[in-house]
Amino acid sequence: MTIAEYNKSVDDHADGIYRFILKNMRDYERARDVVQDTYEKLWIRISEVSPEKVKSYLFTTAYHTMIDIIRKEKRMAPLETDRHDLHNTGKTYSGLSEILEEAILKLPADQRSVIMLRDYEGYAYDEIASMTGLTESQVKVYIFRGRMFLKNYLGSIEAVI
Amino acid sequence: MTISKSNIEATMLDYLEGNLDPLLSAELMAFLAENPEYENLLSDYRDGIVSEDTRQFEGKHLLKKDFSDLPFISPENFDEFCIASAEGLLGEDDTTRLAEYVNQHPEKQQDATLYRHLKLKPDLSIMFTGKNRLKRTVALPARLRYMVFAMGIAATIALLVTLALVISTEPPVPEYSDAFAPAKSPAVVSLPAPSATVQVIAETPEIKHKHTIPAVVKSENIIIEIRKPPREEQQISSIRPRNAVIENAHIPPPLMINLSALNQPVPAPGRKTVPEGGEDQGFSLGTLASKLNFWKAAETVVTGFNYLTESQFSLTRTLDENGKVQGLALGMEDYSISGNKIK
Repeated sequence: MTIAEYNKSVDDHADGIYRFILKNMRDYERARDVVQDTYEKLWIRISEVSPEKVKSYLFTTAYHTMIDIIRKEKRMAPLETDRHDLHNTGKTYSGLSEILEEAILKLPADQRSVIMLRDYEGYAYDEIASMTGLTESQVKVYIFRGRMFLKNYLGSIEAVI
Repeated sequence: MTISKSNIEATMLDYLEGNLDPLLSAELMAFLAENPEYENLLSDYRDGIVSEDTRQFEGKHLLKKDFSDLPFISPENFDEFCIASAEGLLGEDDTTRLAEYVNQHPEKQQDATLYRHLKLKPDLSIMFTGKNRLKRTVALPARLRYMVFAMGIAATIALLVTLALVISTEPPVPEYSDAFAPAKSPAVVSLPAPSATVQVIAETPEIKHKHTIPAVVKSENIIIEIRKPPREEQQISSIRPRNAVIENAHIPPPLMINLSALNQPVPAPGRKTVPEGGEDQGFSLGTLASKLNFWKAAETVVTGFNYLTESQFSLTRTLDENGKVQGLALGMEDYSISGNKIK
């Protein structure tokens, strides 16, 4: 991978990685740090990563960096805690996407990540599996459970509205 | 160990599994040679040992199931069908089956609609600012960087010296007598353009200060008329047009100027004599120093340094009311050094 290709990857993928991490971590500064760390790691391995695989490499690296940070800081709130007040938010919503954005935050990190990689970036199951270190079957199961949860969340909110 | 009929079977199994050392193996071979009836037993054991099994079941794919393998859609698998549909995993037939099921079960209509709207969409307004900081440029080896740095400084110095030389080769202005007397005849100036406007430098004896006064050249035998004296109450003690040779001059009242000596240029006291031809061909460090503005030179060096090294140094000075330098500050993007303080 050349320096020009590296710089092009910054233009092409930095925004997507930033959005992906930001939605997961909900912390602008941490998300910026993860993006910077990710590109630092890419720069170190620039001779080993081909331009065709750079997007996958970046998302994989960003995902694992984020998971490491989350585990270190124990910032993940347990799903059960969130579910207690699932239907009692008392919040008003302006649209479906807003409810979805809120609902996705209530998913466990693994489920949230695979759904985001699937929806935001359009990755196939096997690609998500290789990025996250899960098996393809696990990815399918996580997506299935995540969608079920989102549907139930949306249904409950619609009923309240 | 002594091999006997009581332990021959165990010894043979150890031998076949590779657990027997060479000495015992040799002992076993000797025993088998003495007791050939056990040789057949050894070959039986050999046939019974199974090597790593690499055989595979070839009908695995037949065991796998797809949505089309499910004979009907039920409340139990309805969610799975809906999610598969939203994920684009259903074939045409299964999609039709699901649509029919939803039509037959209106209570499932809302769930089916919800599943279709569960796709997240990226918020494209969120962008990573500071991409330029992530980008890289070609990194030069340290030795090459120092070479470029040195070349940049050398080029800057060469540029400054060239500029100084160009300035020093401008034709010097002749100096004239400071004596004071009324004007007698008009000044005649040889100029390339008879109708050009020339600048006349006049000096007053009181303040020893030079004034630049606009004057107009009127004809071939040029008369310089000073239109705007520095101050009318002041008397001009000398006059010298720039880039011109005065043969005679006429200055109207009230400006009284000694022009009698203007026909022959007389060097001013303490100043260098201007040789005939009007140019000082010599060059010395003193001349260069007098021509150089060191502040501008420093600014030029900093600008050149920033350009060559992509730095953002800045050099600022603080002046008092009289224009004297009170302080210097060298700044960068993140900090500045002013006097003895670093901010």
